[in-house]
Amino acid sequence: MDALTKLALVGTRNAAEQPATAVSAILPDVERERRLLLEAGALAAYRRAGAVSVRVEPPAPAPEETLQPCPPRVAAHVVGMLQGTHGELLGETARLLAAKGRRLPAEVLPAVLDAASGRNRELVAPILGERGRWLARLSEAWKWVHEADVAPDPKVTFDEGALEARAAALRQIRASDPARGRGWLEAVWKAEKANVRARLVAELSVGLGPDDVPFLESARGDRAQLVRSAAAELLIRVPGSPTAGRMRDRVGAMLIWTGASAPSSAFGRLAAMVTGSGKPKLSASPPQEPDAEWEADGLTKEPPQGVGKRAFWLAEAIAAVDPKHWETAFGATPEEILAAERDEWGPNVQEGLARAATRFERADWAVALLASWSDDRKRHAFDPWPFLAKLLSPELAEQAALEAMAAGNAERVAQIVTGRPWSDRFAAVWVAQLRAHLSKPRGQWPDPWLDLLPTAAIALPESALGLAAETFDISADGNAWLAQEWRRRLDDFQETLRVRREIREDLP
Amino acid sequence: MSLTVDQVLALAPDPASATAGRKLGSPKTWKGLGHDERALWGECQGSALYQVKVDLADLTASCSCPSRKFPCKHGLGLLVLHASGHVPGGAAPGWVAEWIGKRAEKAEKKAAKAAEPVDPAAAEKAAAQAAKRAEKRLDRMAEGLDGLDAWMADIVREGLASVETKGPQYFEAQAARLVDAQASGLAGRVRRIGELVGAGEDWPRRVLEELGQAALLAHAFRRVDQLDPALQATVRQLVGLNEKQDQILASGERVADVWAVAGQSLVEDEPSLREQRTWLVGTKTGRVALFLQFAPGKQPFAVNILAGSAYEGSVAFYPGVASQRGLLADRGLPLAWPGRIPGHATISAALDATADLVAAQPWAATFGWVLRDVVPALSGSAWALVDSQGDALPMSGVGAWKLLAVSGGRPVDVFGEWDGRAFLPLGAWSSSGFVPVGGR
Repeated sequence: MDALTKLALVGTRNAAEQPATAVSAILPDVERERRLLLEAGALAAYRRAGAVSVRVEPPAPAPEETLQPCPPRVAAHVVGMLQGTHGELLGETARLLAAKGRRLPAEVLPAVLDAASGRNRELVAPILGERGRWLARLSEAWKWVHEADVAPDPKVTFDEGALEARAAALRQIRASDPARGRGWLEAVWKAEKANVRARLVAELSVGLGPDDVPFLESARGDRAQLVRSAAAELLIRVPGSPTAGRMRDRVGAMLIWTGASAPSSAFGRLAAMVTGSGKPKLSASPPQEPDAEWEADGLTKEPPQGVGKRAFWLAEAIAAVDPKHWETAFGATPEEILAAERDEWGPNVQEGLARAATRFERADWAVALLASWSDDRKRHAFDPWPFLAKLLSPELAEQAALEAMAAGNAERVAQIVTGRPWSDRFAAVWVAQLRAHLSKPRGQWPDPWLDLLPTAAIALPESALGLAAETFDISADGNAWLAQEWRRRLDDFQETLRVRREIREDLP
Repeated sequence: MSLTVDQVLALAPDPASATAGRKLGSPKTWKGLGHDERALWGECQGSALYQVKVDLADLTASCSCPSRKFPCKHGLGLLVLHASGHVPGGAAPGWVAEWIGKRAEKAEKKAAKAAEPVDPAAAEKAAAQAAKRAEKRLDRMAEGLDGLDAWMADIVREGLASVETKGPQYFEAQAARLVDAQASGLAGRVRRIGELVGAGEDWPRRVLEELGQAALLAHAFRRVDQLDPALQATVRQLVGLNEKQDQILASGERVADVWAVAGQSLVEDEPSLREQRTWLVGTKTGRVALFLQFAPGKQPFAVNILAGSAYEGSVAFYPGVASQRGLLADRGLPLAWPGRIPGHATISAALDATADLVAAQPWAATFGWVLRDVVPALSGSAWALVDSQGDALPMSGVGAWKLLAVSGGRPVDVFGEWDGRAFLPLGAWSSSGFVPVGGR
C-alpha cells in the first residue's frame, strides 16, 4: 500500500507526517485534508495515463477446421435445445449435422459446452469441430469432450469407478470376453454391498451362457433377496441351466397336450369334423400349492389382489419357460399350439406364453400370439400389445398399426408406433385419421390421439414436415376447454415440425 | 441490412417479452406478411387479430394489441420472423403506408418547428428568465460542493477505515444532497464510491482515488471561468450541468461518416434506471463516439440501435476536451457490418493515445478502443489480450470465452472499453462478420 493511501486509511488526525509524491509540488496551498484529496485525485489521473502493458504468452492456435459451419439459425436452435427448447430434437439435429459434415460455428461453442450435460454430451461432441475440441482443452469444466478420446481401461473403471460406470465397464467386457467379466465380478463379490452385487450381477445378461451357471447358482443362494432374484432371472434365461430344466419340468407337469388324432377311416374323419375331437387340445392343471423350490427359482408366490392363486401360478410358471421349448415338446408350430382347443385355464396359459415370448424375445411367437389373441375374461384381462408390439418387424408393426387405426383403436396405435420411425404411408393414413378425429365433437378425455401428438412430432418422416404450415380445423362442437387444449397441443406439435423443417431447409 | 435474431431480441424490454417474441416468430400464427425498403408488416392471430408493423428505419414497432410493453411481443415476433427470413417482399398495404406516411409527416413537422424563426421579444424574455434560473442554480450548486468538500475532508480526517462501518447509507445520503444541489454528476460519483468500499483488496486506494477525483472536480468547478472553453464544458457536464440534446444537435461538432456500432452494453447502476452504452466507430475517420440512453424501469430506450450494424449519418459530439459522448443524427437505414474498421494496431499505441487524453482531461476514465490483431489468452485464471508485439493487457467481463472461441488463438479485431485497469470486450469481428461479446 502506498504512503498516501495508508495516511488516508488511518486518518489525518491520527498521523502527523504527510508523504511527498510526484505531484506534491504543484498542489495549491489549502488545508491538509483537501490537499491530500487533491493529491490523490491528480495521482489517479497520473496512474491512469501511465498504465503499461504486461507480457503474456498467447495460446497455441486451434487447428484449421475441416468442416463447414452450419448456418447461424441452426446453431441458435442447437443452443436452445440444450437449454430446454425442443430438447427432444437435439438427437435428430446433431445426427443430421454430422451426416451433412457440418459443425457448430465458433461463437456458440462456450454456450454449447456449458449447457451440454448427461447424454447430450455424446450428441454434441461430433459437431464441435476442431475449434470446439481446442477450446475444451483450455477449461477444466469442458474436459468431458476429451475424456472419450482416451478410452479408459475398463478393468480400472470396474475396480475404481462409480456404480453406473462399473456396470458399463462390466457390460463392455462381457460383450467381448464373458468369462473375464465374470472373473472380475467373482473377485470383488464378497466385498460388495447387496445393492451393488444385485446391480452388477444383472450385467451378466450380456454374453450370458452355460459357463455362468455355477456362479449364478451360488448367487441364487445369496443372503440378499435383491441378489437372489437377479441371479434367478438370469438362470431362467440360460438354456440348459438346472433352473431352466426345473422350469420346463414344472410347467411340463401343468400342461397337457393332446395332438391331433389321425383317423384311419373316412368315418373317423367325418366324426372328428362333427365333434371337433380330432383337433389338438391344450389343457392345464395348475398346482394346488407351489413346490418347495418355487421362490428359490425366482417365481412369485403371492398373486396381485383379485387374481386367483392357481391361475396366477400357472401364468407365472409358463412365463419362465422359453416358448420355443413347446415347439419340440409338442411337435407343433406356434400357430398350431395357439389354435389348439383350450380349457377354462386357456386365458392364463395364453398370458403366460405372451410373457414368455417377451422375456425370451421370440418374434414368431409374438406374431402368432397377437394374431390369435382371444381373452374373454371380464376382469384382469391381459393386454399383450404393450409387451409384444416391440418384437414385431417394421412391416408387421405398421400393418398392425394400420389395422388398429382402421378399427378405431387409437390406444393400440400408440402402443405399436411409439419409439419407431414412421413410414410415409403410415404417416399419410395417420394424418388423414387425425383430421377425421378432429372433425368430430370434442368430448373424449383422456384422448390417446392427443397423447400421441408429441411422439408424432418427432416420429413423422420428412415427407410430412409440410404439415407444420397446414391448418387443422377443430370441430366447434363439444367441450370448449378440450377444444382449446387440442388447439394448444396442435400448436406445439406444428411448432416442433416447423423447427425440424427449418433445420432441414438450412442443411440441404 | 440483415438482422439477426439475437440483435432483434436485444430490443425486448424484458426477458419474458424476448421469450414470447421468439415463440411468435413462427410464420403459422401470421397472415399477410410482407416487407419493403422501409417497413415490415403482418397480422398476428392472438386473442384477436392484431395488425403489426415495424419502421425499418429505426426499428420502431407498432401494434394494435393492448399491451403497454414496447415493443410488444407481436412486434418482436415480426422482427424475429424477418431476421429468420420468413417475411417475403411486397407492396405495403394501406394501413402500413398510412402509418409510415404519418411518421414521416411528424418528423417533418418537428424539423420545421426547429427551423421556425422565434419572436425576438419572447426570446429575450425567455433568455432573461433562463439566466435568472441559472444564477439560482449555480448558488445551489456552490453550496452543495462546499458540503461535499467538508464531508470528504471528514472522511480523510477520521480515516477511510471508519467509513467501512458506516454502510452504503452514508454515501447514499451525501449523493441525495448533491442531487438536491443539482450536481447529479457528482452525485453519481459519490454513489459509485459507496459501492467500492470494502470491495476487493485494494479498495482503500480506489476509494481514495475516486474521492480525490471528486475533490479535483469540485475544485475545478469553482474556478471554471479560468479554464479554457473546452475544459469548461467538460467540467460543467461532469458536475451535472447537462446541455439539452437539441442544443448538441444544433451546435455540437458534427462528424459525418459511416458509423459502425461496435459494442453495446447495459448498465443498471442505479435502482430503476437503465443506462444503455452504445459505441460507434467512424469507418472513415476512426472517431469513436459513445451514445448514451437512459430509461426508467422497464421502459424502452428512445432510439433502437443494434450492435453489429452500421449507419450512414453524422455524430454530433458533446462539447469538451477529448469528448467521446455524442448523438447520432440524420441516420439512414441500418447497413451490414462494414468489415475491418480503423483502430489501434498495437496496445502501446492505444495506451499512448489514452495517456494524451488523460493529460488533457484528468477525469477521462473509460475509453472505447478498437484493438486490431489481438489474441485472447488465459494465463492461470486471469484473462489477457495479447497484441502482435507480445504486449498484453488484463481483460475483464463475461465474454472472454466467447472471444477466445471466435479467435481460435489467432488475431482478431476487438472493440471494448479500457478503464485504466482492464479491457472489457464488447464486440469482435473477423471475415465471417461481427459477433457481440459479453459485457460486464
